[in-house]
Amino acid sequence: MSTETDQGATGATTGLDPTGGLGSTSGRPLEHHATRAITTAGSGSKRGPRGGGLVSRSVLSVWFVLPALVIYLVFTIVPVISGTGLAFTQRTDLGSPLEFVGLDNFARVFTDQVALSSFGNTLILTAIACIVQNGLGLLLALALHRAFRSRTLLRTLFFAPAILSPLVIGYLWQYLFSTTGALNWVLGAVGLESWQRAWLGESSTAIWAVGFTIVWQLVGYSMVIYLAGLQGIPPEVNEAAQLDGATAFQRFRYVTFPLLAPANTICLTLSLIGGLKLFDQVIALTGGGPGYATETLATNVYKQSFIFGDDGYGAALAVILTIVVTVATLAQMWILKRREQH
Amino acid sequence: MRSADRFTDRPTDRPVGRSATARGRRRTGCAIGVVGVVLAVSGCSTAPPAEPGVTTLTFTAQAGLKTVLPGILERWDAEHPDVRIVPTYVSDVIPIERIQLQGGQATDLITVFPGNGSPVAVEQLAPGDFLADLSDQSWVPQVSESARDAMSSDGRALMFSPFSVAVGTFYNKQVFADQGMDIPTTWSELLESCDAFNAAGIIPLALGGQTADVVQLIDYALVPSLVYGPDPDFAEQQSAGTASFADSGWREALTKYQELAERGCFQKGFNGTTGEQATTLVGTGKAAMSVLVSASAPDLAKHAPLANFAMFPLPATDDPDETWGAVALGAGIGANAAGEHVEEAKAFIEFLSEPANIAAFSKDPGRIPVIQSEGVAVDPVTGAAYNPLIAEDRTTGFPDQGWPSPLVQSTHMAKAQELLEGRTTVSDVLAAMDKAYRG
Repeated sequence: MSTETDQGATGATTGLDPTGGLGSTSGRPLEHHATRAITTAGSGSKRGPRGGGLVSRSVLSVWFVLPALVIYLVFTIVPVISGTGLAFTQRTDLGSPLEFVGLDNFARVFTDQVALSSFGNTLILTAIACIVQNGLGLLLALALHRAFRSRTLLRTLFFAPAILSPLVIGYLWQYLFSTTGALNWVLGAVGLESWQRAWLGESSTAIWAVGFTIVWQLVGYSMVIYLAGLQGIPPEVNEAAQLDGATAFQRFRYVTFPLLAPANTICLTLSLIGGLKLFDQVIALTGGGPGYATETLATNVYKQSFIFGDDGYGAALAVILTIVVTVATLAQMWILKRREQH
Repeated sequence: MRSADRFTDRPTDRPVGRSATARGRRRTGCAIGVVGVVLAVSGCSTAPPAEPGVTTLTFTAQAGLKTVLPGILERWDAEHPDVRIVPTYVSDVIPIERIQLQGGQATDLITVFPGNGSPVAVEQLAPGDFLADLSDQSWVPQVSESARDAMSSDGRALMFSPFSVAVGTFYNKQVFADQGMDIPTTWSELLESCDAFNAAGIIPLALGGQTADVVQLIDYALVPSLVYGPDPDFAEQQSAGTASFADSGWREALTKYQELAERGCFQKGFNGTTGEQATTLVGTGKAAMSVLVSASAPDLAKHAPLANFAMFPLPATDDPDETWGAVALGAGIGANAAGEHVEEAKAFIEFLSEPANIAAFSKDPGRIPVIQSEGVAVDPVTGAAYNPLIAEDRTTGFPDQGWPSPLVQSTHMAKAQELLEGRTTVSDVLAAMDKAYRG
């Protein structure tokens, strides 16, 4: 019973087609009519006697938007433009004027071993976030979608780390991963002393330890999004497939998973962006070390700009990071949206 | 008025009531917009409220001064009721001050680092004339020549730092006494003590290899004896391009660091141990020694009475007379030359150099007062080990205070971690440091 209630509620709030997407073609004319109706009303109102009222409302809304617009302009748009301009400059010391150096800062990135290494590490951690975090999130969602007594408790427990500060999580796992930490203690207690190691102190394990921490924290986040998607799938669809003789795996492969496409798009997009701009957990866990083994693009940008005082180079790295995030996200969105349409 | 006139002049092709409503909406919207912008802008302001007849000086201070500064400011207020100092405590002053200085928004009093190697160090700020000249202040002739050099650029004193800290070996006296061990005074004795402690099941040297700031310390403790002590002109030669890390005693220092690791002087999994955990190991007696900054003394005192610990300079050669100490000034204070109250800021710095204030700054264990006078207590743990060396002029500053950019220090820390892990060679570390030094 509770499952049905959940499904109904979530289906309504997420706006998923109550027919499970099967009637999307038939739904389009309705949407079209609705859009036309709204357009007609809007355009007619400009000419009609009530037009003045609507114009006033729009003027009023501009005033409401203005403070946020000014703040956005001053604190986001202007810094983005000036930051991008900074990427083409260099300064010899704090008091000296900025010198235009063209693309020198960008060219330097390709000969800087630390920058290249941080790019590679970022890709590894993004892949972990996209594949492992979402894969486990989906498995958890499938498991916790079934009706059983401790379901709500387990959902809460798995989601709980996602609401904590990434820095808190980072420092917590730094302690657990340390040589004398809980992980090595457990390994020793079960007779696996040979597995004990300095998890964050060895280059071969540090990046995976950081990846594990990210997955541990954010798997619940993916789980919740997939759960919402699952609850939007009407049980009749699966029941029909079952009656047709589909096995559990076939029902997941050919019915559930395709209908989870919108949830998949959200999860992959969020973890892609989160992975590419990963900063907090790395700073708390390893600071980018040992050596440069866990340095990411975002930590490198911070160090170049705020520790080393190399504003121009730091800005160039930030521009590259922005371009990578934008291109990767748009490409992924395009691919996933195409899949959703299929 | 103007908007009201404009509304009045409009063609009245709509009901009066609606026009009035629209006017009301616009006024409300306008008010909300203006209030929003004013709130947003005023929310960014950190300027303290002005008091009539009182000059207010702003100060970007390190968070570590929170325990010391209020007492000093109380004395200042009593003596100078017309000048009020308003500190803003921040945990990481460097990025904040850089932005403030670049934007011409720096506070009247600035936290400044001695020498070079930091974006807000004296040598970095001097070319831009950010700091007021303090050369005529009374404390200048009282500090040692090396301290004066670190606080100056081109012969002009530009900051005042009230205390120094040392990098050296803290040891647990009880552990040494229980094992009947003497303090090692030569490199060979140090290696022998490693073997003896290992045989007794005690960690000889605790190393927080995971914490980059701690990884650098053993090299910092070795190079005064191997590089900067025997060759006082090394830093200048390096700056002139006639000397390099690769062709200096730095090679021996890194080789010896590697030798300590290979000999088993550090605890198992040292590269996965944080600096805090390493301090705990020596504090609780699980380790006999650890190379730390002297200001770590209060952290050791959390585990046992401070009297249970002492320091010695890390030996680097087999001649005890060749051992030098690493002693450097801590962060200090400068006056913003472009500020509105330069003279008042300079007066406050002069005030800080008074014995009572130096004593206040140096009251925490591990800090060596920059001017040692009557009434200024010297911490017995650090003082016993380093005062004789200071008196004999056998100390050098921390090497990073002479480097042109923090990139050199960062490279040293990262490469030292790789070296201890066996992923790189001493030559590679030195080549990377030379490259970072040259920029």
